Amino acid sequence: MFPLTSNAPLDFFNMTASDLAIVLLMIAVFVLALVLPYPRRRPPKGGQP
Amino acid sequence: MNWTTRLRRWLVREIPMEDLLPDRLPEYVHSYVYFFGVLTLASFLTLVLSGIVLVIFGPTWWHISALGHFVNSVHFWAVQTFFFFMVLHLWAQFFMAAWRGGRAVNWVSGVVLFLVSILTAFTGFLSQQNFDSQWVALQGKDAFNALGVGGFFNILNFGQIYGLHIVLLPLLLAALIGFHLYLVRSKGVVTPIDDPLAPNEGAHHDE
Amino acid sequence: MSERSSRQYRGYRMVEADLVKELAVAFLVVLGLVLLLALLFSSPDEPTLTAQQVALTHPAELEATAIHILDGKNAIANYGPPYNHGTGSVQSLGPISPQAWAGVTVPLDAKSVFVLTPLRRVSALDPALGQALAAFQAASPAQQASWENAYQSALDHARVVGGRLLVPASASGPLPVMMQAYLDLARGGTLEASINLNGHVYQTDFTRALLLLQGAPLTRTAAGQELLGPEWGQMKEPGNYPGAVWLWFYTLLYQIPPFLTSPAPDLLAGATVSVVTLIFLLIPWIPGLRDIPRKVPLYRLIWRDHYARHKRK
Repeated sequence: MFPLTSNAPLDFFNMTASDLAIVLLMIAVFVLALVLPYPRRRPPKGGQP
Repeated sequence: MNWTTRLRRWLVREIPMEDLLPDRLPEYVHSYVYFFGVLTLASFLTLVLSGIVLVIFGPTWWHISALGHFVNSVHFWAVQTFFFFMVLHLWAQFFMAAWRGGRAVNWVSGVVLFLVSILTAFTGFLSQQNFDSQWVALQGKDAFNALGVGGFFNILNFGQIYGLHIVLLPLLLAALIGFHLYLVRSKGVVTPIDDPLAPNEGAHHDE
Repeated sequence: MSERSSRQYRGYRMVEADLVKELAVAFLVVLGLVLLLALLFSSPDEPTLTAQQVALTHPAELEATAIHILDGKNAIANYGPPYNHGTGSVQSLGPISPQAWAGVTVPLDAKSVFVLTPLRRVSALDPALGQALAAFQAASPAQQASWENAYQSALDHARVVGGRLLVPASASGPLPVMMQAYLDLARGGTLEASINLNGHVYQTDFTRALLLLQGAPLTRTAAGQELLGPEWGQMKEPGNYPGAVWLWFYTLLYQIPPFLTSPAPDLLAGATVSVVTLIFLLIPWIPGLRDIPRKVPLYRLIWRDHYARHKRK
C-alpha cells in the first residue's frame, strides 16, 4: 500500500493525501529545476561556427 | 516525375540528419527545465517496455502471478512519472512562451499529445479487469453516453478498449511524439524572451 | 550543422550537446526510479464485485435489483440511449441532446437480458421454476406490476437467517419461486456468464454483465472505498495510491455549481472541458493568455546565465 494516509478525502479540496503529495512534489521539482545552478557546458571542439 | 525521388529529396531537404540529431545547441539552452521533455520520453519508453511484457502474457496473467503483478506495478508507476514529467515540461514550455517564432504548431501538437495520453491512461484503467476497471467503466459510461459517443466508444466493451490501449493509442502517441520532436529539431530551440542578441528585441533588454 | 540551423542560431555561441546520451541516462534514471517505486509500493488490484458476492452478503439487494429490472424502475431498464428507449438517464441542455440524437446503438432489453433469459436457461433443471416463468409471462402487465409491488413491499421486511433470505409471504404470484432461483443462480457464480452469453464461444464484450450491478451494489462497494463522485472518485485509485491526478479539472467541475445541481451534469461538464481544452490549444493566438509568460517572469530564471552574459552588449 502507498503509505501516505487513507483514501479518505482531506479537508482541503477533498483531495487524497497521495494526490496532494504528487502535486506538491511537482511544484518542488519545478522550483528546484528553476533555481539550481546549471553546470557550465564545454564549447565544441573546432571553435564557433 | 519519379515519386520515390521526390519523397527522398523532400526528406533530405526537410529533415537533414544533422538537425535531427544535433551535437551542438545554442548556449542559452542552459537550465534543468530542459530535461523534463526527455524524462517524459524516457517514461514513455518504460511504459512501452513494461506494456509489451504485460501484453505478451495476456490480460489475466498479472492477477495470478507475483512477477506479473510486479510488471504491472512498474507500468503503474511509469504512468505516474510520465504525467509528472509531462506536466512539468508543459509548465516549462508555457513559461518560456515556447510557441514564439513560428512554433505554435508544436504547442498544439504537445496539447494533443497530452489529450491522447489521458485517453491512453483512461483505456489502461479500463483494461485492468479488476474492481477499478469495473467502477471506472460504470461511472464513466454516463459521461460518454451523455455526449452521444457511448455507443461507438463503448467503455464497457473490453475487447474494443483493450485493443485501443495496447495497439492503436500507443502507435498514435509514438507518431505524435515523433512529429513533436521533428518540429523541435527543425525549428530549433526557442530563443529567450527579450533576447539581448535578437536584433528586434535587443532594444529593451535591460531592465 | 545544416545550413538552416546555422541561419537559425546565427549570433549565438554554440555548446556541445549529446542528446542520445541524455536520453539513455534519462531512461536509466526513470527505470531505476520506477523499479524502486514498484518494489516499495506495489500497485492496487482489488478483485471485481460479482453477483455471487452480492448474493451471499446482500441477498435482498440482488433481489431488489431483479425486481426493479422487471418493474422498469432500475436505472438501466429505464436508461435511454444507447441501451433502450427509456428516459431516466437522457441528458439534454435545452434542445441539445447528443445522447438522444445518437439513438439506441447498444440495444439491451433489460427484463429479458438480466432476469428472464438467465432463468429460462436453467428452468429445465427445475420444473417449478419453468411453471413460475410460464405463469409470469402469461400474466397481463397489470397483474405483473401488482405482483412486483407486493414482492417489493415484502422484500423490505426480509431477514437473513442462517444464510437464507426469508421474505414474508405476499400476494406476489410466481415471483418468490423466480427470485429464489435467481438468487441460487447468482450464488452458484454463473449469473454474469449467463447474462453475457452471446451464442458463441468467443467473448470479449462485457457490457451486459457489467451493467447488472451498476446501481446499489456497486455504489455501496465504491462508497466503502471513498470512490464516489462527490469524493473526487473519478481521479482516484482503490486503496491509498495516487490516481489520475491529470483529471483534476474535469473532476473539479462535478464539485461546484452549476454542474453540481444540473440535471445534465455530464453534458455540461463535457461541453465545458471541450471549450477549455480548445482555449488551452489556442493559447499561442490568444492575446492576454499568451502574454502571461512575460508578466510572470520565470523566464528570467530559466535564461539567467544568458541574460547575465549579454547584459552589456
